[in-house]
Amino acid sequence: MTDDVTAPASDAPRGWPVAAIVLAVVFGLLYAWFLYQAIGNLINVPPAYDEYELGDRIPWAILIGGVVAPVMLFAGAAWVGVRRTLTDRVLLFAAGLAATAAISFSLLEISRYLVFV
Amino acid sequence: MSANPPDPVDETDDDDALHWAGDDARGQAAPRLRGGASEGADTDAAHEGADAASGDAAPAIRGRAETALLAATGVFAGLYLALVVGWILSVQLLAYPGLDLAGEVMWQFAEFLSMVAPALWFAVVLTLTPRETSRRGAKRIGWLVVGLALLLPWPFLLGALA
Repeated sequence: MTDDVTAPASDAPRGWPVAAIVLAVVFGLLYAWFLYQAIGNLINVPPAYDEYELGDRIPWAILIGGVVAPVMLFAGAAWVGVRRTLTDRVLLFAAGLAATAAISFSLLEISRYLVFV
Repeated sequence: MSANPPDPVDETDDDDALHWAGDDARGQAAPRLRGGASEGADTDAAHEGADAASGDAAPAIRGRAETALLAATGVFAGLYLALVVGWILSVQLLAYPGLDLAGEVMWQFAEFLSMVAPALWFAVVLTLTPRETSRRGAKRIGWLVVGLALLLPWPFLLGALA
């Protein structure tokens, strides 16, 4: 099947071997949890603020940042990991996921803080 | 069970004491410090900077840059250690606001991830900026600064402010 491929092309590491795709899907599910939570906040938090007559203090930047962070970190980890070893890719996805978790806690706590300032 | 007396050690070649067995096979027979220590000492002593612009200066400058990068990496290691401590203190202040089991499991998983996040970020930056990286210093310091900004332990910092 690869007989007709020239030697340099077959020697070059593939951008997305099967193992890397499986890895991206598994980590993608974990990133998706944080994205799901952030989208839930974006949908549910503004009405809750309105209910308590805090409609002018809805933290839009934090709500949108919470949605953007998991997407950016997943895409960044996937992009930096192209043509790297599987170990490097695992490290990248894990670091991105951990950063996503930390950022989600930070944004949550900053939004709580801003309500009482 | 008679033990043979040890072979007499050949001490005629002092260089043997400064090498590990198998260095030659791995291509590591040469001194491991780059820059040629004996040449550098000779230059410093005899010429007092007269050769600063000559070829001897290049290894010395590279050596200084690598030393500076190593020192900067060490400083960042301390800062990232402080971030880990900050996140360990932060998760003590957090409590899951919901009642569902899945949410609580993921919340606690996220707490664990937050505590290891600075260490993971630091490890990734060091792993992906090996010696042969182009513009290694700028890339490493840049990504370490980005990580430092992203991973500030706001729950603890705001708790300390309040």
